Amino acid sequence: MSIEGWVSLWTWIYALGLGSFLVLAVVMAPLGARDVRRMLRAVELEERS
Amino acid sequence: MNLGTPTNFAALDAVSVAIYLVVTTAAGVLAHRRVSGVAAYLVGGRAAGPALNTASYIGTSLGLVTLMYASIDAFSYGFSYVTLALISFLVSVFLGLTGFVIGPLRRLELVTISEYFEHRFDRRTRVLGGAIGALAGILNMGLFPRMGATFVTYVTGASLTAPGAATTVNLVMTLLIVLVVAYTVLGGMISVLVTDYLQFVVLTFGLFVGVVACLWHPQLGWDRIVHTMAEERGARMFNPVAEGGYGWIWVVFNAVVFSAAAICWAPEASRSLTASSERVARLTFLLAAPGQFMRLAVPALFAVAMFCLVAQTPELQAHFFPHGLSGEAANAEQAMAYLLSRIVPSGALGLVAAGALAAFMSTHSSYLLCWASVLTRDVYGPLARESVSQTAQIWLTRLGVVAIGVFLLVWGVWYEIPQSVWSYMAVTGTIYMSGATVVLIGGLYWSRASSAGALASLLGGLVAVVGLFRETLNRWTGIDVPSEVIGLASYVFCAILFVDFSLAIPDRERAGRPR
Repeated sequence: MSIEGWVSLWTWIYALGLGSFLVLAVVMAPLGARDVRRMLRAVELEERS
Repeated sequence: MNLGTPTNFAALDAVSVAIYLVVTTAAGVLAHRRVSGVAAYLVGGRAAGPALNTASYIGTSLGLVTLMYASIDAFSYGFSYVTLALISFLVSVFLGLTGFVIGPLRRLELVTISEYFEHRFDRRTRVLGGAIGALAGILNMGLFPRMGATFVTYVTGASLTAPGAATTVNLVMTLLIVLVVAYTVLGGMISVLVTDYLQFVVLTFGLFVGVVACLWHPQLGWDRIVHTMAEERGARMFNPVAEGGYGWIWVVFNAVVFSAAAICWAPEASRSLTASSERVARLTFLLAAPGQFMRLAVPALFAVAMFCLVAQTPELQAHFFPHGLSGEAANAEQAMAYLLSRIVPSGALGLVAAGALAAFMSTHSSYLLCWASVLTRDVYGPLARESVSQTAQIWLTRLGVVAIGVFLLVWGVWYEIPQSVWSYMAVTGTIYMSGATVVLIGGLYWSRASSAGALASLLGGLVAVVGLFRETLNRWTGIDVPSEVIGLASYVFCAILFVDFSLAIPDRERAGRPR
Protein backbone atom coordinates (compact mmCIF):
# COMPACT_ATOMS: atom_id res chain seq x y z
CA MET A 1 0.00 0.00 0.00
CA SER A 2 1.27 3.49 -0.82
CA ILE A 3 1.94 6.04 1.89
CA GLU A 4 -1.15 8.00 0.77
CA GLY A 5 -3.17 4.81 1.28
CA TRP A 6 -1.82 4.47 4.81
CA VAL A 7 -2.59 8.12 5.57
CA SER A 8 -6.15 7.64 4.35
CA LEU A 9 -6.53 4.41 6.38
CA TRP A 10 -5.39 6.02 9.63
CA THR A 11 -7.57 9.05 8.98
CA TRP A 12 -10.65 6.81 8.78
CA ILE A 13 -9.60 4.72 11.79
CA TYR A 14 -9.16 7.85 13.93
CA ALA A 15 -12.44 9.39 12.76
CA LEU A 16 -14.40 6.22 13.59
CA GLY A 17 -12.50 5.43 16.80
CA LEU A 18 -12.70 8.88 18.36
CA GLY A 19 -16.27 9.41 17.12
CA SER A 20 -17.51 6.16 18.67
CA PHE A 21 -15.76 6.96 21.96
CA LEU A 22 -17.35 10.40 22.06
CA VAL A 23 -20.81 8.85 21.63
CA LEU A 24 -20.00 6.26 24.31
CA ALA A 25 -18.85 8.94 26.76
CA VAL A 26 -21.94 11.09 26.22
CA VAL A 27 -24.19 8.10 26.88
CA MET A 28 -22.15 6.60 29.71
CA ALA A 29 -21.80 9.75 31.82
CA PRO A 30 -25.47 10.03 32.95
CA LEU A 31 -26.02 6.26 33.03
CA GLY A 32 -22.88 5.82 35.13
CA ALA A 33 -24.21 8.29 37.70
CA ARG A 34 -27.43 6.26 37.88
CA ASP A 35 -25.42 3.05 38.36
CA VAL A 36 -23.40 4.64 41.20
CA ARG A 37 -26.64 5.47 43.05
CA ARG A 38 -27.99 1.96 42.47
CA MET A 39 -24.77 0.33 43.63
CA LEU A 40 -24.65 2.36 46.84
CA ARG A 41 -28.32 1.54 47.51
CA ALA A 42 -27.74 -2.18 46.85
CA VAL A 43 -24.75 -2.30 49.21
CA GLU A 44 -26.76 -0.45 51.89
CA LEU A 45 -29.69 -2.87 51.56
CA GLU A 46 -27.34 -5.83 51.82
CA GLU A 47 -25.84 -4.36 54.97
CA ARG A 48 -29.28 -3.94 56.58
CA SER A 49 -30.39 -7.45 55.67
CA MET B 1 17.68 24.35 29.02
CA ASN B 2 15.35 26.79 27.32
CA LEU B 3 12.86 25.02 25.08
CA GLY B 4 11.09 28.02 23.60
CA THR B 5 7.77 29.25 24.97
CA PRO B 6 6.90 28.74 28.65
CA THR B 7 4.03 26.49 29.78
CA ASN B 8 0.48 27.88 29.65
CA PHE B 9 -0.23 26.44 33.10
CA ALA B 10 -1.52 29.33 35.23
CA ALA B 11 -3.13 29.93 38.62
CA LEU B 12 -6.61 29.19 37.24
CA ASP B 13 -5.40 25.77 36.05
CA ALA B 14 -3.91 25.05 39.46
CA VAL B 15 -7.31 25.86 41.03
CA SER B 16 -9.08 23.43 38.63
CA VAL B 17 -6.63 20.68 39.55
CA ALA B 18 -7.00 21.40 43.28
CA ILE B 19 -10.83 21.29 43.05
CA TYR B 20 -10.65 17.99 41.19
CA LEU B 21 -8.31 16.45 43.77
CA VAL B 22 -10.46 17.58 46.72
CA VAL B 23 -13.76 16.38 45.15
CA THR B 24 -12.41 12.98 44.09
CA THR B 25 -10.64 12.26 47.35
CA ALA B 26 -13.69 13.36 49.36
CA ALA B 27 -15.99 11.11 47.28
CA GLY B 28 -13.63 8.18 47.76
CA VAL B 29 -13.32 8.75 51.50
CA LEU B 30 -17.09 9.23 52.02
CA ALA B 31 -17.85 6.00 50.15
CA HIS B 32 -16.13 4.00 52.90
CA ARG B 33 -19.26 4.30 55.07
CA ARG B 34 -20.93 1.75 52.79
CA VAL B 35 -18.33 -0.94 53.39
CA SER B 36 -19.66 -3.72 55.59
CA GLY B 37 -18.13 -6.97 54.35
CA VAL B 38 -15.48 -8.52 52.16
CA ALA B 39 -17.72 -8.64 49.06
CA ALA B 40 -18.48 -4.91 49.39
CA TYR B 41 -14.83 -4.04 50.06
CA LEU B 42 -13.26 -6.19 47.31
CA VAL B 43 -15.85 -6.40 44.52
CA GLY B 44 -18.27 -3.58 45.38
CA GLY B 45 -20.95 -6.06 46.43
CA ARG B 46 -21.05 -7.30 42.79
CA ALA B 47 -23.57 -4.53 42.22
CA ALA B 48 -21.98 -2.46 39.44
CA GLY B 49 -24.30 -1.83 36.49
CA PRO B 50 -23.06 -1.79 32.88
CA ALA B 51 -22.34 1.95 32.59
CA LEU B 52 -20.48 2.16 35.92
CA ASN B 53 -18.56 -1.04 35.25
CA THR B 54 -17.60 0.17 31.77
CA ALA B 55 -16.47 3.56 33.09
CA SER B 56 -14.43 1.83 35.78
CA TYR B 57 -12.90 -0.62 33.28
CA ILE B 58 -11.86 2.24 31.00
CA GLY B 59 -10.60 4.27 33.96
CA THR B 60 -8.52 1.34 35.20
CA SER B 61 -7.00 0.47 31.83
CA LEU B 62 -6.35 4.12 30.96
CA GLY B 63 -3.69 5.27 33.38
CA LEU B 64 -1.37 8.22 33.12
CA VAL B 65 1.33 5.61 32.56
CA THR B 66 -0.70 4.37 29.56
CA LEU B 67 -0.71 7.88 28.12
CA MET B 68 3.02 8.13 28.74
CA TYR B 69 4.16 4.80 27.29
CA ALA B 70 1.90 5.19 24.26
CA SER B 71 3.21 8.70 23.57
CA ILE B 72 6.83 7.61 24.08
CA ASP B 73 6.57 4.82 21.49
CA ALA B 74 4.41 6.80 19.07
CA PHE B 75 6.93 9.67 19.16
CA SER B 76 9.33 7.33 17.32
CA TYR B 77 6.91 5.05 15.45
CA GLY B 78 3.87 7.26 14.82
CA PHE B 79 0.63 5.57 13.84
CA SER B 80 2.32 2.17 13.62
CA TYR B 81 2.01 2.13 17.41
CA VAL B 82 -1.75 2.66 17.09
CA THR B 83 -1.93 -0.89 15.73
CA LEU B 84 -2.04 -1.80 19.43
CA ALA B 85 -5.14 0.36 19.87
CA LEU B 86 -6.84 -1.60 17.09
CA ILE B 87 -5.78 -4.92 18.62
CA SER B 88 -7.07 -3.80 22.01
CA PHE B 89 -10.38 -2.73 20.45
CA LEU B 90 -10.83 -6.06 18.64
CA VAL B 91 -9.99 -8.12 21.74
CA SER B 92 -12.57 -6.23 23.79
CA VAL B 93 -15.27 -6.71 21.10
CA PHE B 94 -14.44 -10.43 20.83
CA LEU B 95 -14.71 -10.99 24.60
CA GLY B 96 -17.93 -8.99 24.80
CA LEU B 97 -19.58 -10.89 21.96
CA THR B 98 -18.46 -14.40 22.91
CA GLY B 99 -18.07 -14.19 26.71
CA PHE B 100 -14.88 -16.22 26.26
CA VAL B 101 -13.40 -16.81 29.76
CA ILE B 102 -15.16 -13.79 31.32
CA GLY B 103 -18.60 -15.45 31.18
CA PRO B 104 -17.65 -18.64 33.04
CA LEU B 105 -15.60 -16.64 35.57
CA ARG B 106 -18.53 -14.37 36.43
CA ARG B 107 -20.87 -17.35 36.82
CA LEU B 108 -18.60 -18.76 39.53
CA GLU B 109 -19.04 -15.60 41.69
CA LEU B 110 -15.37 -15.34 42.57
CA VAL B 111 -13.68 -12.43 44.35
CA THR B 112 -10.27 -12.82 42.68
CA ILE B 113 -9.09 -14.55 39.50
CA SER B 114 -6.69 -16.79 41.46
CA GLU B 115 -9.64 -18.29 43.34
CA TYR B 116 -10.48 -20.07 40.12
CA PHE B 117 -7.17 -21.90 40.28
CA GLU B 118 -8.20 -23.57 43.55
CA HIS B 119 -11.73 -24.13 42.30
CA ARG B 120 -10.46 -26.00 39.21
CA PHE B 121 -7.07 -27.33 40.36
CA ASP B 122 -5.85 -27.16 43.96
CA ARG B 123 -4.81 -24.82 46.74
CA ARG B 124 -1.12 -24.84 45.76
CA THR B 125 -2.02 -23.54 42.30
CA ARG B 126 -4.03 -20.72 43.84
CA VAL B 127 -1.21 -19.68 46.18
CA LEU B 128 1.42 -19.87 43.43
CA GLY B 129 -0.81 -18.03 40.95
CA GLY B 130 -1.57 -15.34 43.53
CA ALA B 131 2.07 -14.89 44.56
CA ILE B 132 3.40 -14.66 40.98
CA GLY B 133 0.49 -12.43 39.99
CA ALA B 134 1.16 -10.03 42.85
CA LEU B 135 4.92 -10.02 42.15
CA ALA B 136 4.41 -9.25 38.46
CA GLY B 137 1.64 -6.76 39.15
CA ILE B 138 3.57 -4.78 41.74
CA LEU B 139 6.71 -4.74 39.56
CA ASN B 140 4.50 -3.62 36.68
CA MET B 141 3.29 -0.70 38.78
CA GLY B 142 6.88 0.30 39.49
CA LEU B 143 7.01 2.84 36.71
CA PHE B 144 3.55 4.34 37.26
CA PRO B 145 4.52 7.04 39.77
CA ARG B 146 7.63 8.27 37.98
CA MET B 147 5.86 8.44 34.64
CA GLY B 148 2.96 10.29 36.22
CA ALA B 149 5.12 12.72 38.11
CA THR B 150 7.23 13.43 35.01
CA PHE B 151 4.07 14.38 33.13
CA VAL B 152 2.78 16.60 35.92
CA THR B 153 6.07 18.44 36.39
CA TYR B 154 6.38 19.19 32.67
CA VAL B 155 2.78 20.27 32.21
CA THR B 156 2.92 22.62 35.19
CA GLY B 157 6.32 23.98 34.22
CA ALA B 158 8.27 22.51 37.16
CA SER B 159 10.60 21.12 34.52
CA LEU B 160 13.09 18.38 35.33
CA THR B 161 15.82 20.59 33.95
CA ALA B 162 15.22 23.26 36.59
CA PRO B 163 17.27 23.28 39.83
CA GLY B 164 15.69 21.06 42.48
CA ALA B 165 13.29 19.55 39.94
CA ALA B 166 14.06 16.00 41.06
CA THR B 167 12.74 16.91 44.53
CA THR B 168 9.60 18.35 42.95
CA VAL B 169 9.03 15.11 41.07
CA ASN B 170 9.37 13.07 44.26
CA LEU B 171 7.05 15.38 46.19
CA VAL B 172 4.38 15.25 43.47
CA MET B 173 4.70 11.48 43.35
CA THR B 174 4.34 11.19 47.12
CA LEU B 175 1.29 13.47 47.33
CA LEU B 176 -0.61 11.65 44.58
CA ILE B 177 0.10 8.22 46.01
CA VAL B 178 -0.86 9.26 49.54
CA LEU B 179 -4.25 10.54 48.29
CA VAL B 180 -4.98 7.36 46.33
CA VAL B 181 -3.86 5.10 49.16
CA ALA B 182 -6.06 7.05 51.61
CA TYR B 183 -9.34 6.53 49.80
CA THR B 184 -8.53 3.00 48.63
CA VAL B 185 -7.66 1.91 52.17
CA LEU B 186 -10.88 3.35 53.55
CA GLY B 187 -13.47 2.44 50.94
CA GLY B 188 -12.02 -0.46 48.93
CA MET B 189 -13.83 -1.30 45.70
CA ILE B 190 -16.80 0.93 46.53
CA SER B 191 -14.45 3.94 46.63
CA VAL B 192 -12.59 2.68 43.55
CA LEU B 193 -15.81 2.40 41.52
CA VAL B 194 -17.17 5.78 42.65
CA THR B 195 -13.90 7.61 42.01
CA ASP B 196 -13.33 5.69 38.75
CA TYR B 197 -16.64 7.02 37.50
CA LEU B 198 -15.73 10.63 38.36
CA GLN B 199 -12.29 10.10 36.86
CA PHE B 200 -13.76 8.63 33.66
CA VAL B 201 -15.80 11.80 33.15
CA VAL B 202 -12.89 14.13 33.91
CA LEU B 203 -10.27 12.27 31.89
CA THR B 204 -12.58 11.93 28.88
CA PHE B 205 -13.24 15.66 28.91
CA GLY B 206 -9.56 16.47 29.45
CA LEU B 207 -8.39 14.24 26.61
CA PHE B 208 -10.91 15.67 24.18
CA VAL B 209 -9.76 19.19 25.03
CA GLY B 210 -6.26 18.03 24.10
CA VAL B 211 -7.45 16.43 20.84
CA VAL B 212 -9.34 19.58 19.81
CA ALA B 213 -6.25 21.69 20.57
CA CYS B 214 -4.11 19.40 18.37
CA LEU B 215 -6.48 19.39 15.43
CA TRP B 216 -7.28 23.11 15.42
CA HIS B 217 -3.95 24.63 16.45
CA PRO B 218 -2.56 26.92 13.69
CA GLN B 219 0.82 25.11 13.71
CA LEU B 220 -0.71 21.63 13.71
CA GLY B 221 -3.94 20.19 12.26
CA TRP B 222 -4.44 16.63 10.97
CA ASP B 223 -3.10 17.17 7.42
CA ARG B 224 0.05 18.90 8.53
CA ILE B 225 0.73 16.29 11.24
CA VAL B 226 0.44 13.25 8.94
CA HIS B 227 2.33 14.82 6.05
CA THR B 228 5.21 15.99 8.25
CA MET B 229 5.61 12.45 9.55
CA ALA B 230 5.41 10.93 6.09
CA GLU B 231 8.04 13.31 4.72
CA GLU B 232 10.49 13.12 7.63
CA ARG B 233 10.28 9.49 8.77
CA GLY B 234 8.53 7.60 5.98
CA ALA B 235 6.38 4.48 5.86
CA ARG B 236 7.51 3.02 9.21
CA MET B 237 5.38 5.69 10.92
CA PHE B 238 2.22 4.23 9.35
CA ASN B 239 2.94 0.58 8.64
CA PRO B 240 4.14 -1.47 11.66
CA VAL B 241 5.81 -4.09 9.46
CA ALA B 242 7.57 -1.64 7.10
CA GLU B 243 11.37 -1.67 6.97
CA GLY B 244 12.80 -0.06 10.13
CA GLY B 245 9.44 -0.47 11.89
CA TYR B 246 8.29 -2.81 14.65
CA GLY B 247 8.00 -6.04 12.63
CA TRP B 248 5.58 -8.98 12.73
CA ILE B 249 6.88 -10.52 15.96
CA TRP B 250 6.07 -7.32 17.80
CA VAL B 251 2.54 -7.29 16.37
CA VAL B 252 1.91 -10.95 17.27
CA PHE B 253 3.40 -10.57 20.77
CA ASN B 254 1.24 -7.56 21.51
CA ALA B 255 -1.89 -9.26 20.19
CA VAL B 256 -1.16 -12.05 22.68
CA VAL B 257 -0.42 -9.58 25.52
CA PHE B 258 -3.65 -7.62 25.03
CA SER B 259 -5.74 -10.79 24.83
CA ALA B 260 -4.06 -12.19 27.95
CA ALA B 261 -4.43 -8.94 29.89
CA ALA B 262 -8.15 -8.70 29.18
CA ILE B 263 -8.87 -12.18 30.54
CA CYS B 264 -6.38 -12.66 33.37
CA TRP B 265 -4.60 -9.41 34.31
CA ALA B 266 -6.37 -9.03 37.62
CA PRO B 267 -7.05 -5.26 37.82
CA GLU B 268 -8.75 -5.26 34.42
CA ALA B 269 -10.13 -8.78 34.27
CA SER B 270 -11.69 -8.34 37.71
CA ARG B 271 -14.28 -6.10 36.07
CA SER B 272 -15.98 -9.32 35.03
CA LEU B 273 -16.20 -10.12 38.77
CA THR B 274 -17.59 -6.74 39.89
CA ALA B 275 -20.37 -6.85 37.27
CA SER B 276 -23.89 -7.44 38.58
CA SER B 277 -24.45 -10.37 36.17
CA GLU B 278 -22.77 -12.32 33.35
CA ARG B 279 -24.69 -10.26 30.81
CA VAL B 280 -23.33 -7.05 32.38
CA ALA B 281 -19.80 -8.50 32.38
CA ARG B 282 -19.99 -9.16 28.64
CA LEU B 283 -21.66 -5.82 27.97
CA THR B 284 -18.83 -4.11 29.88
CA PHE B 285 -16.19 -5.47 27.52
CA LEU B 286 -18.27 -4.69 24.45
CA LEU B 287 -19.03 -1.11 25.49
CA ALA B 288 -15.46 -0.49 26.60
CA ALA B 289 -14.05 -1.33 23.14
CA PRO B 290 -13.97 2.32 21.91
CA GLY B 291 -12.27 3.23 25.20
CA GLN B 292 -9.64 0.56 24.57
CA PHE B 293 -8.92 2.21 21.22
CA MET B 294 -8.94 5.73 22.59
CA ARG B 295 -6.57 5.06 25.52
CA LEU B 296 -3.68 4.39 23.10
CA ALA B 297 -4.76 6.33 20.02
CA VAL B 298 -5.15 9.70 21.77
CA PRO B 299 -1.67 9.81 23.40
CA ALA B 300 -0.24 8.59 20.09
CA LEU B 301 -1.93 11.55 18.41
CA PHE B 302 -0.35 13.89 20.98
CA ALA B 303 3.05 12.36 20.22
CA VAL B 304 2.81 12.72 16.44
CA ALA B 305 1.49 16.27 16.88
CA MET B 306 4.55 16.98 19.01
CA PHE B 307 6.74 15.58 16.24
CA CYS B 308 5.11 18.05 13.85
CA LEU B 309 5.87 20.90 16.28
CA VAL B 310 9.46 19.70 16.70
CA ALA B 311 9.93 19.67 12.92
CA GLN B 312 9.07 23.40 12.88
CA THR B 313 11.29 24.46 15.81
CA PRO B 314 15.11 24.10 15.69
CA GLU B 315 15.51 24.34 19.52
CA LEU B 316 13.08 21.47 19.99
CA GLN B 317 14.79 19.46 17.28
CA ALA B 318 18.12 19.70 19.09
CA HIS B 319 16.47 18.50 22.31
CA PHE B 320 14.21 15.73 20.98
CA PHE B 321 15.97 14.59 17.79
CA PRO B 322 19.66 15.50 18.23
CA HIS B 323 20.66 13.23 15.30
CA GLY B 324 18.12 14.65 12.87
CA LEU B 325 14.39 14.08 12.42
CA SER B 326 14.87 10.68 10.80
CA GLY B 327 17.14 9.57 13.64
CA GLU B 328 16.47 8.19 17.11
CA ALA B 329 14.29 10.25 19.46
CA ALA B 330 15.64 11.54 22.81
CA ASN B 331 13.72 12.69 25.91
CA ALA B 332 10.54 11.16 24.46
CA GLU B 333 8.91 10.99 27.90
CA GLN B 334 8.74 14.80 27.92
CA ALA B 335 7.09 15.12 24.51
CA MET B 336 3.37 14.80 25.32
CA ALA B 337 3.49 17.03 28.40
CA TYR B 338 5.50 19.65 26.51
CA LEU B 339 2.99 19.70 23.66
CA LEU B 340 -0.12 19.96 25.82
CA SER B 341 1.37 22.65 28.06
CA ARG B 342 2.07 24.81 24.99
CA ILE B 343 -0.96 24.31 22.73
CA VAL B 344 -3.82 24.09 25.25
CA PRO B 345 -4.73 27.59 26.46
CA SER B 346 -4.67 28.60 30.13
CA GLY B 347 -7.92 27.68 31.83
CA ALA B 348 -8.46 24.63 29.62
CA LEU B 349 -5.01 23.28 30.51
CA GLY B 350 -6.18 22.76 34.10
CA LEU B 351 -8.90 20.42 32.78
CA VAL B 352 -6.32 18.46 30.78
CA ALA B 353 -4.03 18.21 33.82
CA ALA B 354 -6.99 17.13 35.99
CA GLY B 355 -7.84 14.52 33.34
CA ALA B 356 -4.29 13.21 33.46
CA LEU B 357 -4.39 13.04 37.26
CA ALA B 358 -7.73 11.25 37.01
CA ALA B 359 -6.09 8.67 34.77
CA PHE B 360 -3.23 8.33 37.27
CA MET B 361 -5.47 7.90 40.30
CA SER B 362 -8.07 5.56 38.80
CA THR B 363 -5.41 3.09 37.67
CA HIS B 364 -3.49 3.24 40.94
CA SER B 365 -6.54 2.66 43.10
CA SER B 366 -7.66 -0.40 41.13
CA TYR B 367 -4.17 -1.87 41.00
CA LEU B 368 -3.46 -1.25 44.68
CA LEU B 369 -6.70 -2.84 45.80
CA CYS B 370 -6.45 -5.70 43.38
CA TRP B 371 -2.92 -6.83 44.23
CA ALA B 372 -3.42 -6.29 47.96
CA SER B 373 -6.57 -8.43 47.86
CA VAL B 374 -4.73 -11.13 45.90
CA LEU B 375 -2.00 -11.20 48.57
CA THR B 376 -4.59 -11.41 51.35
CA ARG B 377 -7.07 -13.88 49.87
CA ASP B 378 -4.90 -15.98 47.58
CA VAL B 379 -1.56 -16.10 49.37
CA TYR B 380 -2.01 -15.37 53.08
CA GLY B 381 -5.54 -16.81 53.43
CA PRO B 382 -4.87 -20.32 52.05
CA LEU B 383 -1.56 -20.55 53.94
CA ALA B 384 -3.01 -19.47 57.31
CA ARG B 385 -3.74 -22.35 59.66
CA GLU B 386 -7.05 -20.88 60.83
CA SER B 387 -9.73 -19.33 58.67
CA VAL B 388 -9.32 -15.56 58.33
CA SER B 389 -12.36 -13.55 59.43
CA GLN B 390 -13.95 -10.98 57.12
CA THR B 391 -12.77 -8.11 59.32
CA ALA B 392 -9.22 -9.49 59.33
CA GLN B 393 -9.30 -9.86 55.53
CA ILE B 394 -10.30 -6.23 55.12
CA TRP B 395 -7.59 -5.01 57.50
CA LEU B 396 -4.93 -7.19 55.89
CA THR B 397 -5.92 -5.85 52.46
CA ARG B 398 -5.65 -2.30 53.81
CA LEU B 399 -2.19 -3.10 55.15
CA GLY B 400 -1.27 -4.51 51.73
CA VAL B 401 -2.44 -1.33 49.99
CA VAL B 402 -0.24 0.81 52.26
CA ALA B 403 2.76 -1.53 51.83
CA ILE B 404 2.47 -1.46 48.02
CA GLY B 405 2.14 2.34 48.15
CA VAL B 406 5.41 2.56 50.12
CA PHE B 407 7.10 0.19 47.66
CA LEU B 408 5.99 2.37 44.74
CA LEU B 409 7.56 5.43 46.29
CA VAL B 410 10.88 3.65 46.86
CA TRP B 411 10.97 1.88 43.47
CA GLY B 412 9.80 4.98 41.64
CA VAL B 413 12.67 7.03 43.06
CA TRP B 414 15.60 4.83 42.09
CA TYR B 415 14.52 2.73 39.12
CA GLU B 416 15.90 4.12 35.87
CA ILE B 417 13.28 4.68 33.15
CA PRO B 418 13.91 2.18 30.33
CA GLN B 419 14.06 3.16 26.65
CA SER B 420 10.66 1.64 25.89
CA VAL B 421 8.34 1.88 28.87
CA TRP B 422 5.80 -0.25 27.03
CA SER B 423 8.32 -3.11 26.70
CA TYR B 424 8.95 -2.96 30.47
CA MET B 425 5.20 -3.12 31.13
CA ALA B 426 4.69 -5.98 28.68
CA VAL B 427 7.62 -8.00 30.07
CA THR B 428 6.65 -7.60 33.75
CA GLY B 429 3.06 -8.48 32.87
CA THR B 430 4.22 -11.53 30.96
CA ILE B 431 5.86 -12.99 34.10
CA TYR B 432 2.33 -13.73 35.33
CA MET B 433 0.15 -13.60 32.23
CA SER B 434 2.07 -16.14 30.16
CA GLY B 435 1.45 -18.87 32.72
CA ALA B 436 -1.91 -17.71 34.06
CA THR B 437 -3.55 -17.26 30.64
CA VAL B 438 -2.66 -20.80 29.64
CA VAL B 439 -3.91 -22.16 32.99
CA LEU B 440 -7.14 -20.16 32.84
CA ILE B 441 -8.06 -21.09 29.28
CA GLY B 442 -6.87 -24.67 29.69
CA GLY B 443 -8.75 -25.06 32.97
CA LEU B 444 -12.00 -23.76 31.51
CA TYR B 445 -11.94 -25.41 28.13
CA TRP B 446 -9.69 -28.52 28.30
CA SER B 447 -10.93 -31.43 30.37
CA ARG B 448 -7.49 -33.10 30.69
CA ALA B 449 -5.84 -30.05 32.27
CA SER B 450 -4.22 -31.07 35.58
CA SER B 451 -2.79 -29.39 38.68
CA ALA B 452 0.74 -30.47 37.72
CA GLY B 453 0.33 -28.80 34.33
CA ALA B 454 -1.03 -25.65 36.01
CA LEU B 455 1.88 -25.44 38.47
CA ALA B 456 4.46 -26.05 35.73
CA SER B 457 2.91 -23.41 33.50
CA LEU B 458 2.77 -20.75 36.27
CA LEU B 459 6.40 -21.43 37.21
CA GLY B 460 7.38 -21.40 33.53
CA GLY B 461 6.18 -17.79 33.25
CA LEU B 462 9.02 -16.75 35.57
CA VAL B 463 11.46 -17.12 32.64
CA ALA B 464 10.08 -13.79 31.40
CA VAL B 465 12.05 -12.13 34.25
CA VAL B 466 15.00 -12.46 31.85
CA GLY B 467 13.35 -9.70 29.82
CA LEU B 468 13.96 -7.19 32.66
CA PHE B 469 17.72 -7.70 32.32
CA ARG B 470 17.67 -7.91 28.53
CA GLU B 471 19.98 -4.97 27.89
CA THR B 472 22.62 -6.30 30.33
CA LEU B 473 22.41 -9.80 28.86
CA ASN B 474 22.67 -8.42 25.34
CA ARG B 475 25.84 -6.56 26.33
CA TRP B 476 27.36 -9.71 27.88
CA THR B 477 26.46 -12.09 25.07
CA GLY B 478 26.75 -9.67 22.16
CA ILE B 479 23.42 -11.00 20.82
CA ASP B 480 20.52 -8.55 20.57
CA VAL B 481 17.36 -10.45 21.51
CA PRO B 482 14.31 -8.14 21.33
CA SER B 483 12.02 -8.12 24.38
CA GLU B 484 9.05 -9.21 22.27
CA VAL B 485 10.89 -12.40 21.29
CA ILE B 486 11.53 -13.19 24.98
CA GLY B 487 7.89 -12.43 25.78
CA LEU B 488 6.44 -14.52 22.98
CA ALA B 489 8.78 -17.41 23.79
CA SER B 490 7.49 -17.31 27.41
CA TYR B 491 3.88 -17.88 26.28
CA VAL B 492 4.88 -20.77 24.01
CA PHE B 493 7.06 -22.26 26.76
CA CYS B 494 4.21 -22.11 29.30
CA ALA B 495 1.74 -23.71 26.88
CA ILE B 496 4.14 -26.58 26.20
CA LEU B 497 4.75 -27.11 29.93
CA PHE B 498 1.02 -27.03 30.65
CA VAL B 499 0.12 -29.63 28.02
CA ASP B 500 3.09 -31.92 28.71
CA PHE B 501 2.69 -31.97 32.50
CA SER B 502 -1.10 -32.31 32.30
CA LEU B 503 -0.76 -35.37 30.07
CA ALA B 504 2.14 -36.84 32.04
CA ILE B 505 0.68 -36.26 35.54
CA PRO B 506 -3.14 -36.25 35.40
CA ASP B 507 -5.25 -35.39 38.44
CA ARG B 508 -6.52 -38.37 40.43
CA GLU B 509 -9.95 -37.16 41.55
CA ARG B 510 -11.12 -35.86 38.23
CA ALA B 511 -14.72 -37.09 38.47
CA GLY B 512 -15.73 -35.00 41.45
CA ARG B 513 -13.83 -31.84 40.52
CA PRO B 514 -15.95 -28.83 39.61
CA ARG B 515 -15.27 -27.22 36.26
